[in-house]
Amino acid sequence: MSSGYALLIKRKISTQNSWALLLCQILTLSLLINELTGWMLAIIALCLCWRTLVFIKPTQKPHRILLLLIACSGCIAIAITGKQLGVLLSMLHLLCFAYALKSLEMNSRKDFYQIILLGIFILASVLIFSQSLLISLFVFCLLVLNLSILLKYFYPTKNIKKPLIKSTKMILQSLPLAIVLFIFFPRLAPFWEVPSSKSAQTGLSESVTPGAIASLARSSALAFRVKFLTDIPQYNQLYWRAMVMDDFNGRTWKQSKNSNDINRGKINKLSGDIPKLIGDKTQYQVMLEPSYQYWLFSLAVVDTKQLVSNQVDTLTLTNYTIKSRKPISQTSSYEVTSFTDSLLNSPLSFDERRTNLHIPVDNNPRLKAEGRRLQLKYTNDIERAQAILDIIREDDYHYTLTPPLLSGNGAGHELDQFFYESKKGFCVHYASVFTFIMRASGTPARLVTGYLGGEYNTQSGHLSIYQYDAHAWSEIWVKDKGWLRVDPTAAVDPERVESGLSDTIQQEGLFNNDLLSLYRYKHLAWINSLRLKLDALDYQWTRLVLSYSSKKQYDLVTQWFGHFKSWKIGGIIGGALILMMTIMWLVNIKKLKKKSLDKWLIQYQQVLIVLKNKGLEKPITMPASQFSIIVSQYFPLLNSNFSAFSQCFEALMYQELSTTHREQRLNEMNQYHQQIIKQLKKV
Amino acid sequence: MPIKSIISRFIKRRLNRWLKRRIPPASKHTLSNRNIFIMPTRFGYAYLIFVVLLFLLATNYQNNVIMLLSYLMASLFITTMMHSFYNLSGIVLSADNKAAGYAKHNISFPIHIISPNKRVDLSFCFDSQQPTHLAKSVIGDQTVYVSCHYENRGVYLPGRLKVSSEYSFGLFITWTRIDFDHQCFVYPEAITLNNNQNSFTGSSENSAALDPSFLEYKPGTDDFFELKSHVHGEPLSRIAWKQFARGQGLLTKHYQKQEGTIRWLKLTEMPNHGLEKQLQYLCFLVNEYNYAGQIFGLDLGHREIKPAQGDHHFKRCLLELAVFNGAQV
Repeated sequence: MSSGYALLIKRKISTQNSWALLLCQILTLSLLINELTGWMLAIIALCLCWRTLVFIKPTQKPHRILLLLIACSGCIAIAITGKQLGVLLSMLHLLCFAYALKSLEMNSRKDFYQIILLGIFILASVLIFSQSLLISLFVFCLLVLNLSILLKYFYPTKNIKKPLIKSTKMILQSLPLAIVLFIFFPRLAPFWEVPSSKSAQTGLSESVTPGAIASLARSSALAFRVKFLTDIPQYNQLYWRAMVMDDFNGRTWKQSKNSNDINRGKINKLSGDIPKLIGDKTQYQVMLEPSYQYWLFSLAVVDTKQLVSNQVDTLTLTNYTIKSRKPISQTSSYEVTSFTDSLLNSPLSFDERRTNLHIPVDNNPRLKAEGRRLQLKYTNDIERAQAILDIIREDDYHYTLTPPLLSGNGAGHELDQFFYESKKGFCVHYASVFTFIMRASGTPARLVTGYLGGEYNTQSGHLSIYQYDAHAWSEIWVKDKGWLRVDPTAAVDPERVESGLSDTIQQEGLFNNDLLSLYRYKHLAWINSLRLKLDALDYQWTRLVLSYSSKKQYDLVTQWFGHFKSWKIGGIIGGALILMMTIMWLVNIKKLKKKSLDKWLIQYQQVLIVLKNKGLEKPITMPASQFSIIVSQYFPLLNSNFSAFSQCFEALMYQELSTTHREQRLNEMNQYHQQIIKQLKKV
Repeated sequence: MPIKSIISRFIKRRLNRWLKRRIPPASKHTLSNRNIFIMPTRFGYAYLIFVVLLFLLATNYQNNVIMLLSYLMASLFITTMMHSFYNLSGIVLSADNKAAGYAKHNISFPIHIISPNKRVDLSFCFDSQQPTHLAKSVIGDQTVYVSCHYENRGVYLPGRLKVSSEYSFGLFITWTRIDFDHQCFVYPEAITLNNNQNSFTGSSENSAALDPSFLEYKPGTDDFFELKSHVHGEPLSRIAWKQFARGQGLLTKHYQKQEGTIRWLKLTEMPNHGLEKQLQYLCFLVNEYNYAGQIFGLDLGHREIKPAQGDHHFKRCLLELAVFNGAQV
């Protein structure tokens, strides 16, 4: 019973299989095009081209030393750029480099195994960067392709179709157990700190400069999804807060240091700071797409005690925003309870007051003068704000996503230029101007960025918030009431605030950085319904798979099986395993029974047994045709019946027959069988 | 080292004894969970480590999709195990327990297999012998020839036949070791005895003792004489299959016979190049005489086979050469 290694057969990878492998490599690596640097892509392309060349001219195989040289120089290049790339991307580069290079050096079975496993590992690492349904399905398909290539190595067939079907079948057979494991296998905390992906940040930027191009507004990429557990508030109440920008340097708004760094611990210490929560609660689950930023989205005011998340380590800031301790590098979710009627009235400290009133000297003098004028005219903060909104509403202002660039007639005059000359802009322009005038008139004011609204998907009842929903608005400090939200955009384009970007503005925005996006063809009804269906599917994927956490696991187990006990989990998994094996066993038995009962096989064997009893045994190695000659010698009585019978048998056994031919042969076989048995009885 | 070898020998003996009880010798074996063994290959273990690695990756990144992938691959491991097992299970193997052939040549053991459905990647081999690979079996019966190769003449016991498969993904090796009680008669390798060789024509003193007709006999010339219609009882090996296939009826090849003289092939008359060499020459001559349809006898000194002809006689002579003088049995 020695192990079977001595028995390993020398196998060769068929040419077709090599082509399939090359295709698989190209597809796998193409999933990482966004993550890999240009020079690495070039090296990979070179390796794969060389591989293709080897197919055409096998003599062109690279020399070992040359390969070693390429490998070394590649590694050195990765090491040099390592600091710039970060640990994760360096590792990824190394993996992809090895994967491409390995295809040039496939001599043994070991190399083949390595390249398959490496391929699957790279597929897994693709999932670090994106977990959307589409990518996951693509990864799944490539996994099947990899397995088919592996299968074809042991199962030589004319084409890859059969192994593909077979490995798909096997994967599907494995799926139930995998799902049971996914649901019930204990979910562990991370064992050690891993380098997170540091892709380019998407979504809101950390600073806002009016006059820069509104590139954000043109992207139809998903920002996050929200599932409301309570009633959905009105569209114009869905102000998803992300960042509060109170530091203005004359040109750019950004977050001041102290508003950014105050963490939850401090808010708890000052018990008076805990916001008073009044009114109805709004409960919802937010499913974030990776943005590689820290900002989380919520409606004010968040009940910090009911902020639940397993995937995000949250912080609550005093400016009523929440934040993650780590960049959001993968789809993750958290549950929030908000009280939208509550006031944002945490006391304003002296420092904060100074920050929120600050305007640089010699900055936008015309607006500053306007502020001072209004300060004298209206003593009430709210009346003054209303007056500014009236100017914006009544004067000739336009809401557009493609405003002219504000060069500023000299530095620090951009807002003046916008307000008095171009009069064309989008939310950031109006919010900036409004905030500026309020500050100039002596009211603490600040800019808030986030998203407004969202698209309600009737099929799954969730809200999708896209990048083009990004928005900026203002908040002013009013005594006794705290921070009040004022949205100057509502004054210039009420539709934006009531129901989202109007069609004309969308056309203007063009969304030209995602040409393939279905959003572009939203006006076609069937495409729009398809888009919503896909979105609903992706949402379910996010909700059921991506946001599955140990808390949900715990809830599920207690709901189905009572108290959470580890032996119960073991029992469930063991039971599933046994069930799977039993089902496969039963299926196999059924298959065997069906296959072994071929009538013609039995008929032939029956005749052989009768002949054996008459004293003529067929030597097992003798072909049926040869045996029929001997039979005709020994039993002339059978005439040509037996040889015809044998011919039928051989035809059925070895030839690929059409169904009609097969039927014919089976009938003949039946007749001959009866005759032979009858004749042999007489002998 | 000796301790190691003692232990390994001990284990081997226990294992063989256990195997003998588990899979006793028979002329027909049906593969089932009684006689199929299954173990992960080295790649299988590597695959498992890989799955654990994926699980670590998923846990550390708290990435549910990678987690699902790792579970899927773990589950696939078990599915593959089942498929590997079912690839062998249900096959019926039968074989004659004797085979014969020449030393330094491949001797084939026909193994008859009946598989209820298509089976993939089967390899057959005897211990330390060349494997025979069957990429895909047909549904129904089929014969596989498993070869043995021996350097010296004698009677050998090739031992258990190992049938193994690495299907589906090479993760597992499924194998069985079935015992057909195989016996292998290995005849001496036939070495051409050339008339012009020095030892025959030259200085040899005993050349006079040689039968003159022996010298006249020219091997290599075409002795084929005619085709006659087949008569019941003639050996199958003489049937002219080519002509039969052309539809010319059942014919038997007849060879020119030099009637009258009965020849004795004597060991003592072979050129003196050592016993093994002499036996090899004799083997050649036995073949030639049989092919020519000559009546001949074999004289090995203390063993003697009376002159006769035919298949049975031929086999007896060869067997005698194989086991002569206590060759390996």
